[in-house]
Amino acid sequence: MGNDSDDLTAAMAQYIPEPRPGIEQRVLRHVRTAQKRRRRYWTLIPVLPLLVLLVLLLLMLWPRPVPVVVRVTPTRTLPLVGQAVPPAHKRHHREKVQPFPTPAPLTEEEKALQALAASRPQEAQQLLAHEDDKPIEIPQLQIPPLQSDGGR
Amino acid sequence: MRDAARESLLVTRFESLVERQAKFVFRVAYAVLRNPEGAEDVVQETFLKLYRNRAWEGMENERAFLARVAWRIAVERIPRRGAELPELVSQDANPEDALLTSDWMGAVHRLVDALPEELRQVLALSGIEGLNSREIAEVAGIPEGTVRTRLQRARQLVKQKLESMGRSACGK
Repeated sequence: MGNDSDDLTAAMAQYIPEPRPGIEQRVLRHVRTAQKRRRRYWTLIPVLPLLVLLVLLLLMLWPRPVPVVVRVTPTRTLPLVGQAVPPAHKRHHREKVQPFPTPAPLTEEEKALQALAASRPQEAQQLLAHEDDKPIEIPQLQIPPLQSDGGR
Repeated sequence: MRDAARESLLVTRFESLVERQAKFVFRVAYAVLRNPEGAEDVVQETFLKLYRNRAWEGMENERAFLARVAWRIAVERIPRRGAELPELVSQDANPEDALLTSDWMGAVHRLVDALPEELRQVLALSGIEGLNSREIAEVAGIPEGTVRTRLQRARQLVKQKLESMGRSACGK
């Protein structure tokens, strides 16, 4: 039994093989390389904010195209929610765009003015100019003093 | 100037630590992984980790400390479904055949490989020179009593199997 135990101990001592020769050098090389790589990353850290600033400056100084504004006039109004949509042949009639201001027939005075401007344009111009050039006269305010009724 | 001298001294000390213990760390990693390439990766990772956090400067029992670090790294690398583990078992078809061809050592190793993982790891660590039950317990993070029980059980299983194989070999 004791012999078996010794044999097993001896077998277990050889259970794990030897590493490939030069493992120490490979480990040290690996550590050195990893440290160098790490140092390189650290030196990049102060450079990064500078790069970001540079990009921001370039973006600010770069000429931008002027935006083109396009005005879109609505051609028709949408029906309100719940409102019945009229059939297509009636809808066409409704959607006629009304001019603003709404045209109305000329009054008698406007017709007379139009006739005067057509026959005697200079006089009509003078007449209109005089009326416009007149300075505005504001009559002096005359407010009578308040009269008391003796406390009544 | 003084910092540079101190750094140089530390590097020298670290290099001598690697020279002293690289093979030992390899054995610990191999006991877990049973894969020489994986074990060497663990050795490199272990020493790189130590170098970076400088924990090695104040360690009391350097072998136990290194074994613990290597063990943890190796355990993290164990394949989930044990894909790499049966490598040695599958090299030769049958341990009994190996015994018949007088490859007794190989047969024992294959029997050890066939043990449950918790028993195998403890038995493999016991084969590394200088690791006693207390240190194995520290490395594996289990009580010393458990280590002893597992060692005893593992040895018993291997012996039983060897005996039965010997009988069947004589019978043939």
